[in-house]
Amino acid sequence: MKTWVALAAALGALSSCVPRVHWQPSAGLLRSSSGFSITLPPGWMVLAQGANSTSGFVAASRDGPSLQCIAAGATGAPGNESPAISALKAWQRMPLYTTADSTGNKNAALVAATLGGDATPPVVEPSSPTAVGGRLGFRAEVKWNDPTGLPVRSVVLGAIVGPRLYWLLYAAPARHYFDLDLATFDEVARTFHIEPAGEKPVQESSAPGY
Amino acid sequence: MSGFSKERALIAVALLAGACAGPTHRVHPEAASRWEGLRTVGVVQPAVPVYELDASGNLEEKPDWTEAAENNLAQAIASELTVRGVKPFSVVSSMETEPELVDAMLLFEAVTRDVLFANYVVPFVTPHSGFRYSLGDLSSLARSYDVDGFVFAVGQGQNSSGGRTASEVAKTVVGALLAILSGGGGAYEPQFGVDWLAIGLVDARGDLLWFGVYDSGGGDLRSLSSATNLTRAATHEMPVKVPGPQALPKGGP
Repeated sequence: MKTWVALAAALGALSSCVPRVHWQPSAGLLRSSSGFSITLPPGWMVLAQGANSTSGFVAASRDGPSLQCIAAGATGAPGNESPAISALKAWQRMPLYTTADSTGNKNAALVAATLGGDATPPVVEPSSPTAVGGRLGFRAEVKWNDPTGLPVRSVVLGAIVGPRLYWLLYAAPARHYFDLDLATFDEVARTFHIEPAGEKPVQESSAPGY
Repeated sequence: MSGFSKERALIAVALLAGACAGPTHRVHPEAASRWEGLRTVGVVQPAVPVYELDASGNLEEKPDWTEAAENNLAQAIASELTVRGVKPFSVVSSMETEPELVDAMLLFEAVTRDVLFANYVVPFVTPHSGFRYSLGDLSSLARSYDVDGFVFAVGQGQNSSGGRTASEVAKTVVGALLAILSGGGGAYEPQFGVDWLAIGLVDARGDLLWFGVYDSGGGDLRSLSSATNLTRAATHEMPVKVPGPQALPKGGP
C-alpha cells in the first residue's frame, strides 16, 4: 500500500511549492503591528503574523480557510476603488494555504483557486455607516462565485484613518457555512480596535464611499 | 460532471503531497449511530477529470477519458456500497435539473480541500470539536430521491502520453546503467501519472459521516478494473452494515 510519504516523494516538484504555513491555535487577544487589536475565537486556528512578508494581517478559521475565514488587516487607503473591494483584494493576497516564494507563480495559482479568487465579479451590496474599531466606518456585504463556481458570501467592515484602511472581513461558502459563523464574526468585530501607532484617535467626519 | 478544474485538482494533489503518513479516512463523532440509518444512498456522479500527462509534465484534460472514468467510478462506488449492505441509487447532477445537488457538489469540493489541508497537512481539528464537516441540509433532496444520504466523490486521473512513457523508460534505463557504472545508488525513479480519489458519505442532514482518500500510480481510470481498485482502496476503512434489528427495511416501524 502506498503511503502518503511515498506520494510526497513521487510529487516532489509539486510538494516543493506547498510549504508549511504557520497556523496555530487561537490565543485570544492579538495585537497587530499594523495598528489594530482583535480577539479571535477559542478553538479556531490563526495564521500567525510575521510568518511571511505580508506581516500585519490576521486570519483565522475553524474548519479550514475555504469553509470560514475571519481576517483583518490594514492597507493604504483606497483611491477610487470601493473600500470593501480593496479589503477583499488584500484578503485574496493572503497565503492561506501557502507562503509566498521568491517567484510566486505556482503558489499564486494555488492561492487564487481558493475562495479568494473569483470567477464572477464581486457584487457589493449597499450598506450604511457603522462604528468599526471605535471609528466611523462601513459595513458591506459582498457576494461572488469562486473559481469553481461555488457561491461565496462575505461581510466586510472597515474604517479609513489617516492614510490607511483598517478592515476586517468574514468569508464563507453561501451554502451552510456563511450562516454558521456569522454571529461569531459579529462577536469578533466587537473586539476589533484601531490603534494606530503615534496617532490620537480621530473622529471621521463622514463614512467613506462604498 | 466534469467541472473539477485542473487548477483545483492541482491544489488537492499538492495538499496530498504535503500530507503525512497515517490513516487515510476520517469519521464523524456520531457516525456509528447514524450509519445504521443509511439504507439507500444516492451515488452522485463523481467529478474526476482525467488528464494526459505529456513528456514535459504538462496536463491536458481529455473529456472522453473523464466521462469514462466518472462512469466507471460511479459503478465502482455503487458496488462498494452494496457489499456493505447499503443500496446504491445513481444520481446524475446537472445545473438545469438539480441546482441544489450541484451546489452541494461544489461545497464538497471545498470541504475536500479543507479536510485534506486541516486534517492531513495542518492539525486544525482539536479533540474537542472532532471531525465535523457538512454540506448543509439535504433532507429535501433525499426525500425527492427517496434516499437516506448521498455519496460524493472528487479526484483526478492522469495517464501518461506515449512520449512520456518512452521518455521515462529511457531515463530509467540510462539511470540504471549510470548506477551500475558508478557503483550503485542514484537510480532514476520514473514519474508516471498519479490518480487520486476522495469519497464522502453524508446523511440527509448533510453531515459528512465518513471521508476516505487514496492515491495510486500507474492505473487508468478509463478501465473499470483500475477504477474499482482505486475505489476499493479509498473505501477500505468504510464500515460494513451489520444486519440486525436496526437494519429495518424502508417503511418499516
